[in-house]
Amino acid sequence: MNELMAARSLTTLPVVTLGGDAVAQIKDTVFDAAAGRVTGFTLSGRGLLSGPLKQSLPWTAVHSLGHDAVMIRDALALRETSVVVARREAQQGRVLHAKVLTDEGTEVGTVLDVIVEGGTSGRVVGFRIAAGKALVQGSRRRRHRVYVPRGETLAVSGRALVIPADATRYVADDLPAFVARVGAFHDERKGTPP
Amino acid sequence: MLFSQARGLPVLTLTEAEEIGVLRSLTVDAASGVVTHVRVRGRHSRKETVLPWGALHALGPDAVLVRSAAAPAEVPAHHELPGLRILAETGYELGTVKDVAFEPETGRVEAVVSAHGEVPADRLLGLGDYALVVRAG
Repeated sequence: MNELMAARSLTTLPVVTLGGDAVAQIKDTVFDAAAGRVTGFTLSGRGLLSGPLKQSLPWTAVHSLGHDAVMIRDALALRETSVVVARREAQQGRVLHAKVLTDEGTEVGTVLDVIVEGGTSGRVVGFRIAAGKALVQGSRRRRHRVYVPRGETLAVSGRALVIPADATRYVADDLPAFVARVGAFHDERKGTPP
Repeated sequence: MLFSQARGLPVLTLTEAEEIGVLRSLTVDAASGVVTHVRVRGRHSRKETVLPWGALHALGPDAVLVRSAAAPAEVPAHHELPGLRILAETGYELGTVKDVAFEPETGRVEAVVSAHGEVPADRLLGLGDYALVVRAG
């Protein structure tokens, strides 16, 4: 499996052509309506004083998403922002800060960040959430931030998203541990008959 | 030969043995993997002259001999390789360029030397102002 990355950490990542030129940097990550995959990125100019760019980067033009850069074939891959992010504001608002419920009806927390897979897939593999009492026991003052894998089928509405109850058994405290848990979670799901 | 060895060599014309300056840097075309131009800086004037690789008669261990010191009509953008970051096409950094090994007879680039080892020339994809992009090996 490719390296996992938190969507928020992608901000300021340079967008580099295969010709070696940095053409922009990432401003925001845009997801599809079901929060299943990355559909593109909004961009800002590189440098201290440059603001947001009029153009955005559709995922189809991404050569590879890496730890140090987003690689694109050439600068012609950039598109008008309206094409890439038709309903961006709505979707951003929908995923971040949304309540996370299990399909058994337990509230487990709220979404802080979206975890995506690097490379060429752009898949959303899980979420970083502020864990509620149901998920992590202990005092409220010790607010726990954990990673939960996303289920194959995930329901996202205006204010909540629903994950399978067994996903909550695969929470992890940090990204490296989460990589192993996601693998285990998917292995088990494949093993169980539908 | 390494870029670091070529740098600083005196550049002389073949017919008059007149020194036009010292070799400052070499311009590489990453896609074809060859040195296309050499940059020469005058010892006194500090003026930089660009010479196409074809104008070179010989690049020896102690001096560079050129047939003509005429500047080419078109000068491509120069990206200084030593010190430039190396990016794999997957978006991961592989350190910075320490040196470049090339054939002094033909100008063919053999390998790019980084702190993590050598990148053979056939893995070079592109060279720009931000990075040298290489095929994942």
